[in-house]
Amino acid sequence: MPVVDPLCYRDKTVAWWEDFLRRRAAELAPLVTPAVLAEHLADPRGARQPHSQALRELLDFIHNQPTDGKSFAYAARPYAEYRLSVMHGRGSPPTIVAEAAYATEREAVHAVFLERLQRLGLLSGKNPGERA
Amino acid sequence: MKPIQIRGYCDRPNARPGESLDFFVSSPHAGSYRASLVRLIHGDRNPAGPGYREETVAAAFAGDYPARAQRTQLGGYVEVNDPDAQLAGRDGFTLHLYLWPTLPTERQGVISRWSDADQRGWALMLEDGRLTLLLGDGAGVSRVSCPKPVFPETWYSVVARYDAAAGEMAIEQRVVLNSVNSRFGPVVDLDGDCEHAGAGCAPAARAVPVVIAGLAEAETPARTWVVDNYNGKIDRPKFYPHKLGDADVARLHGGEAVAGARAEWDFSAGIGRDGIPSDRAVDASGNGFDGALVNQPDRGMTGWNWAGREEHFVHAPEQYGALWFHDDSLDDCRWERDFSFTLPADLPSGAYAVKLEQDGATDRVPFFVVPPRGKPAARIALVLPTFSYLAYANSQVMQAAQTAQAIMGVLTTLDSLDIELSTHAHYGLSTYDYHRDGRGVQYSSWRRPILNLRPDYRHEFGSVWQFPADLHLVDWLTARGFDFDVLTDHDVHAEGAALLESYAVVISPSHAEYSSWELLDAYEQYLAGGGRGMYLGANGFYWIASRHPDKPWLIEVRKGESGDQAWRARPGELFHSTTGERGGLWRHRARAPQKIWGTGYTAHGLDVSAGYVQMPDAADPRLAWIMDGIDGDAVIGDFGLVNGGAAGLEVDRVDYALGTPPNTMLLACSFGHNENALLVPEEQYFVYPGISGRDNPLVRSDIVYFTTRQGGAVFSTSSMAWCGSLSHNGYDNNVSRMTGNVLKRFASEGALEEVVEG
Repeated sequence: MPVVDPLCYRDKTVAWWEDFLRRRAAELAPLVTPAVLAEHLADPRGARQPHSQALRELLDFIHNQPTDGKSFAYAARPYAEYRLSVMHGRGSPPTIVAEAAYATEREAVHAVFLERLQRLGLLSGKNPGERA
Repeated sequence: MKPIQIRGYCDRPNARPGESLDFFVSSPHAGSYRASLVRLIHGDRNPAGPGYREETVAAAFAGDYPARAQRTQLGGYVEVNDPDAQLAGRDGFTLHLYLWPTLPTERQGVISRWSDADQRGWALMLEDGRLTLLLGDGAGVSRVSCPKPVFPETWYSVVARYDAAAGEMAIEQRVVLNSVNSRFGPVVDLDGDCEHAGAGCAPAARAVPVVIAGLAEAETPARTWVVDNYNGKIDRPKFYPHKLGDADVARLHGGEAVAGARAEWDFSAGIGRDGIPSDRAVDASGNGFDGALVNQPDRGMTGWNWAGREEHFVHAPEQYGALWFHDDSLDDCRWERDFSFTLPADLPSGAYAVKLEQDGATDRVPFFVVPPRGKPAARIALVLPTFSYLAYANSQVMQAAQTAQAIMGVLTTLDSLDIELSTHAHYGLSTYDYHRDGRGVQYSSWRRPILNLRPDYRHEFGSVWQFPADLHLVDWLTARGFDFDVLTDHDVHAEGAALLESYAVVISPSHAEYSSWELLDAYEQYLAGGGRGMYLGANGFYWIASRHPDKPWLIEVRKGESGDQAWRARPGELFHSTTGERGGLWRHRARAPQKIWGTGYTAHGLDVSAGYVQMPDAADPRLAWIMDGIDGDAVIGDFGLVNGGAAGLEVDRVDYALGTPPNTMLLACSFGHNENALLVPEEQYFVYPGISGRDNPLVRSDIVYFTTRQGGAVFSTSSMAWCGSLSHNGYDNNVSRMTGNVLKRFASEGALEEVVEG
């Protein structure tokens, strides 16, 4: 039986991506502690001292998530007002997901961190790797 | 989010007094706008720095202008005029071409003589993933489609025929896949050959051109607008003014010539040792139906018959007959001009912008004033790297690339300019982006609003970058009272070392990453001839870039094989269409930056910057003038606007194997880089743990000095963040001190002691 219709075929690696996400998130879930969250809030870039191993692993994981649906800090008024937003790919305007405004970039970036942990099931500790 | 607003661009980046620049403006809002001239000094609005600085300059063009919305044609295509309707096909026709679609499931015009507004003419289309022939006579549309959908990135031979006498139309496709020309190879049992026929009406002859890779929107006498732009490659399209027989069609599918074409476009015609830098699509039939390429489709691309034995179009031009079209390519917005600015004879060299203001919205359109030919006004020249500004123009990496935040090591912060860019496609893309069909962007144009070339733009990467970063240096030179001329890559490329030789010292600022052969020649000859160079950046002179010979506002870049690659040229497609030269890294063409500046790219650490520790050469008495006023144990540059240090973002180091001069003095090395500071790919060979700034001594920035012939010398600080530290503590700091020590000495008429051993 020859191969005829491209629309009949799909990317089978999607299943692996989902499986990997669940497995890795389950490994990372215990690393989300009040201390790690406080560490990020105090110094999101690790500018004052290098991040702990736990925070680095969490950041590497959430940095690498797919672009669509990724949250980011929006500089509504640079150096004065920041908001939390979500990307939807080129050609589609992002959305502001919370009306909360942040006075500093540091606070907004921390809000992004929390949002991504939440979205990946890592903040609640329930069903890690199941995208919210 | 901020909506689209008034935006503008000018026709080229550089001009001399007495020359004229054209400005083009569009606004979605009616009414008027105000235009004025400003000189740009400092753009970074970081409250820890000097803040935004510009000066208004009187200009004859300043005043109010009517605002209007101007439309931008996106997407590459070929337009062939046919005023006498010789390609209208009313008496029957045959079309043949080779097709390699990239987004085949979307509606696209492959080749047409069609007015889409009233559905008249003929058009070979992709509809629902299937090749389709449309004929429209005004009363209705006849349609036949191949029953089998086409696979992406797979070559097909396609024939569409219309028999006027019989009132019949037919379409057929044949897979012409080999081991190298398509996405997958012959092991796939691909059954894609098919045909379909049906009744066809006579196509109406509207006053539209033939369009290859799109459809004419409508009959529009002033200018054709093209819609349903095609994505993918097309090779050797032909038009016969009658229906060919089945035997001839079989010969076409096999790649044989069939006489009698009224038009036969050979996209490889013109390929030579200097590439194929032309917007002309040659009609090889001899009937004069040459086409005009619009929006710079990719040229010099592998065709349907590419056999994989030759990788350079010069060696097998007959296998490089494809143009690769993208529906989001852009080489010129082609807006109507709003006003011109003739530069007054006494306008000092510098970085300027036309400021556009309308109802609270502001845009600044930068350009660079260079001194009159042969009349330098200073002993110092600052070369603003306009090729690199173009390479990054309108980049949207953080919003498109999954790995971008991992590369940068930060959760991104975007501002309204980023959102405007990604939401509105008509500003075009950078050489860091991908076309919508997955191909890396290889051409970048000045003739469009470039939103990240605004003086106060904080780059999506999380720091000032390129032009706004270079304004750190402009501000420092201004604040410290140095007289300097501004030049651009475009000037140095065009005029070579002779232009630089007017200056005692030439400065390359934060990130002159993209260079042409001519630029390297200019710096090399200048320095070898006694010139003095200050390289106050990093990752400079890295990627091969070429300037289009006929469209100097456009550059070409083909990334490949290795390097910090945003994308990688496909096999057989690493050579530049605009010059014929090999793309990629200069170090792979034996022109590593270490040969000219002593250091070259080694690592990037884009989240946190570091300072420098002094090396033994810093205490060498022959270099005491460089270190004057700096304590022997002081850390240099552990402060600054760019992530808190002078050594950061991207950093360079000495590499004797790549050409660092043997007499190079190593003054300082940066220390304290973190896990996200990593060796660049071309330094890794194998991947292995331990390539970060925490544990690898190659992850560092080197401050070096060496002397050359005839009193020449080079001072390189090897870090993109260096200039961001100049203004710290009211410009009183050891980065400012060291830079000033060198600049004053280099700019002086006094001799420099040669520093060699033995």
